[in-house]
Amino acid sequence: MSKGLHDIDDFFRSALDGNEETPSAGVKERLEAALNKKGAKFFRKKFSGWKKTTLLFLLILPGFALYDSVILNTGTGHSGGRTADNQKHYSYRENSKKTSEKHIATDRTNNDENNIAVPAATGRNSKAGFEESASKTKGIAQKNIPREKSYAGKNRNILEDNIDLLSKERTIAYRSLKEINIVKSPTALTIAIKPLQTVNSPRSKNRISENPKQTKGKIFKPFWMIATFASYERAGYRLDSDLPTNITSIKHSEVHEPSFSLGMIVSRQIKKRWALQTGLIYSQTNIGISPQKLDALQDPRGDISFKYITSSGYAYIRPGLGAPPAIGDSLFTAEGKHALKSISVPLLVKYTVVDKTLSFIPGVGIEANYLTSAKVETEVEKPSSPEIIFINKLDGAKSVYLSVVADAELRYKLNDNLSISFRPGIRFAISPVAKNNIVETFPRSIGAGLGLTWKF
Amino acid sequence: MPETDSLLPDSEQLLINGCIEGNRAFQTELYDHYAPKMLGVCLRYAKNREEAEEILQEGFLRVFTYINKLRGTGSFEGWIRKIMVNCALLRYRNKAHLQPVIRLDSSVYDVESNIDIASNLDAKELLFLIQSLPAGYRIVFNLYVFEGYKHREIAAALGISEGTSKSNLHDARAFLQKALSLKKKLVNYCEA
Repeated sequence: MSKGLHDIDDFFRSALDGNEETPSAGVKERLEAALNKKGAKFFRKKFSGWKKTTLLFLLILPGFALYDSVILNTGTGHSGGRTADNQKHYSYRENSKKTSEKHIATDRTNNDENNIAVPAATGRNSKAGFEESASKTKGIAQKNIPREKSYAGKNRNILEDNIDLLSKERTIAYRSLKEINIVKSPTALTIAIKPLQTVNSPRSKNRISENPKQTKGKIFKPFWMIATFASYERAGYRLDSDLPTNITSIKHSEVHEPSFSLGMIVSRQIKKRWALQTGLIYSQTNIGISPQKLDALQDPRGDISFKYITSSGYAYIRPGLGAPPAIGDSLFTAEGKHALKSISVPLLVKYTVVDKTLSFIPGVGIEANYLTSAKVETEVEKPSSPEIIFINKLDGAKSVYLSVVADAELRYKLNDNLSISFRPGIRFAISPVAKNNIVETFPRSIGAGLGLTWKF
Repeated sequence: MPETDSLLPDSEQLLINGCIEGNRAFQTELYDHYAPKMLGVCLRYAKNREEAEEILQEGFLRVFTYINKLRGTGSFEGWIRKIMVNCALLRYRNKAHLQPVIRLDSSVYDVESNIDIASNLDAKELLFLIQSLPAGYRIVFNLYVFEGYKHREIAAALGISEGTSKSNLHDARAFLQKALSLKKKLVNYCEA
């Protein structure tokens, strides 16, 4: 008998060992498609270093922007600000000196009666010197107008120098002069002097500093905002695997249910239209799992258990106190609930497109998601009595994954400090939430939230 | 049955180098050369042709992925064959079908006369007999008979005990004998 059995072995071996069959053309096509996909994956991985560098750069850049905004705008602790001021002082001094010299020369040459001694501004505080010089020049011009037009014309040149200088720092004066279109007549010149007088008055200086439109953001003060929100989300995911059957089986067995997020966000308005946003967001994603047939397999510890596979990871379960399962055993589960809870830290760059009572503020950025919990609750169908199974930890679920986020906030101002906001947004993962699973899962969601924002 | 010529060592190395570089033309040539032979292997491990082709596809994908890790020692064809077998085992492990399905009393069959009948069958019919085996038996039978594994190695590869491996092999042989016996009866009936 034994010999006969071995004869059967030899017979089958000799008959089938060199057996060849021509595969169908579809195999080659599918293989090529899989190789192309693999190639694309390799290409993606090849530039992962660049991607990480870019990501790091994007993270650091807002920090620099914040530093630039906070430190430079307050003018403290930065030598650059002082240097700029010094340059302005030198500029004033030089200009006022030149102006005064011109003025003195003109006076001496043309009319001794009108020769008013104008002290040179070089030995004084530059700004004060300039203002005094400009003021006296105006006085000369006013006196000379009725007497001699040509003399007024020369003084007018001096005034124009002063006007040019002032125009750089005093926008109102510059605009007024342009509107009036001076230098046509003595009357016009008289009119033109008025804005200069106005500019030099302390009241107008205050007004200039209070008017953001005229100073074009030079004195914009960065401010903070804090917002709380709650949003309703529709979650989903993109699955990736070398074996399409794995993707299909997961997709068929899982259905996403409504999810939600709660968050507290802090914004720093660094420029008039640009802001940086970060905070903490708690999210819960709910997934329904259809009944499954679990096969008994050897787990990493060497025990035989039933493997329960989800998109976020897997778990080995051994329900009940009966006999331990053997390889080949199977188990049926009822519908299950899978809940993923995470804390996210976003970093967004926001741009205020419309800044009125109703503002429109889109933003884009990245988000680090810390998976705090991945639970599955299901019921095992046993002949004797059903047993509820709780899986509190999924193997293969990563603790951190990254997402790209974008939102488009509509903010309605209730008063100067308080506003309500409606914020639709999307986020999609750029790194998988599961590792060593049959699929790589990239969660994504689209949602809309309502929130309150305080400015302070 | 189509015949494939074995590659000369130089041209084989050239093919391997081309595949390592990811050259699609070399990959196609390698596939065309080895696919028929490997499908013959896969067909023994699968329950039908569709499943065998899936194993073949997965196997060649692994071949092209890991060909850069190929060491110069040993036969290249043997390396590809091992990958195909591993793919079949992986598939089998994921599905876990190693449960005893039938119990046969093999002593009742006339082995010698069954082999006489079997010698009249062509490869496709014999292949069909192997494919008709329950998955667990089929895998153990293939590993033992065609790959030359010992029961200890089969047990380690499949995560089963040595005793289970022996039992599965015995049952597989008995199943084949029973199938051959039925074939014999059928032939006798037709002749009568």
